Amino acid sequence: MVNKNNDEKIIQEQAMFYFLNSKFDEAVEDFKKVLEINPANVDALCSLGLIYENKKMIEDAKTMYEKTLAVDKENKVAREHLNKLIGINNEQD
Amino acid sequence: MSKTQFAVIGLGTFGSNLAKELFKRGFPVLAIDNKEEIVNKITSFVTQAIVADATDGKALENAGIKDCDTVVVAIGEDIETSILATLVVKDLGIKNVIVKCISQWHSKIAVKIGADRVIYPEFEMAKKLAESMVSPNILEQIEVSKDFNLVEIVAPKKCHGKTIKDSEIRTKYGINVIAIKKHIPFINDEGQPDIEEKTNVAPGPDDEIMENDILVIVGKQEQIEKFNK
Repeated sequence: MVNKNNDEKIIQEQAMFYFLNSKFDEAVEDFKKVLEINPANVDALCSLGLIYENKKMIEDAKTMYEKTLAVDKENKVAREHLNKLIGINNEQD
Repeated sequence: MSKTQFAVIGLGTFGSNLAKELFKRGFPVLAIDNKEEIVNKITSFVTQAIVADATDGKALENAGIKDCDTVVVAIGEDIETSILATLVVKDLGIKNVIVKCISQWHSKIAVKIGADRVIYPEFEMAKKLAESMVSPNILEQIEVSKDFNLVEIVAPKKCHGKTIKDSEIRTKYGINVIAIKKHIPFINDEGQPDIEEKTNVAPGPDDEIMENDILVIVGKQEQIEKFNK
């Protein structure tokens, strides 16, 4: 029997390892697998946003940040990065 | 040495943001507009905010404009008022007067009556946006002189994993690398993944360029285009 929770955790750990070592292509593959198991995994969504932003795939990055915020509307990283991409100054009063 | 003092005349979106930014950077800023409600809004973000007619020399003098080293005339829409205000501040002996212009005629007149610098924010922004739309790898571009540009560019694939020396940026393309910006992934205090930017200013020939790096380079436009291909 497949333990989905366990699989998600193991793949996410591997994805995070690649992410933290700047191996973004490998990280993308694994984060996508995580999202196949759990489409609401906030860390996978937000990390994909960060990687896409870094690769200048701006529209994809925005989509990922929006998905992150749809699951976790308080997510500071996604909010700040999305605002930056849209051109909204976080410091603006 | 005392700090440079600035005055901004005309507190529309451009003028008010300019005044706030200068103040945020620690400079004394005198903000002037003829509309009280606009002046009231900016009071707590600048050193002094005053309601005055920009074409009234006496009113500007009373506001203390003579103490300012640089005055920015940011009245964009009303050319006549902008020109008169420029004339008035020049007559008051301000050494550095910068005028925000909306057309070529506006800038020509401003220069004739003594403006030390004219700017066209809308034109400059449109040019930058066009550049970023046609060359997505070029993130920022500043004209250093007629021939040379300072450009922020995504490191081209041909440089990945090579040192500056080995990638022949200088010898083959005549381009100087001023800085390398690296993006470092990390987990923040709240346990969320994030990426921070670290800049290596004045990198040496043995510094390595990696995938996802941003290069700040100086060179001729055609050389930069060749390098970016």
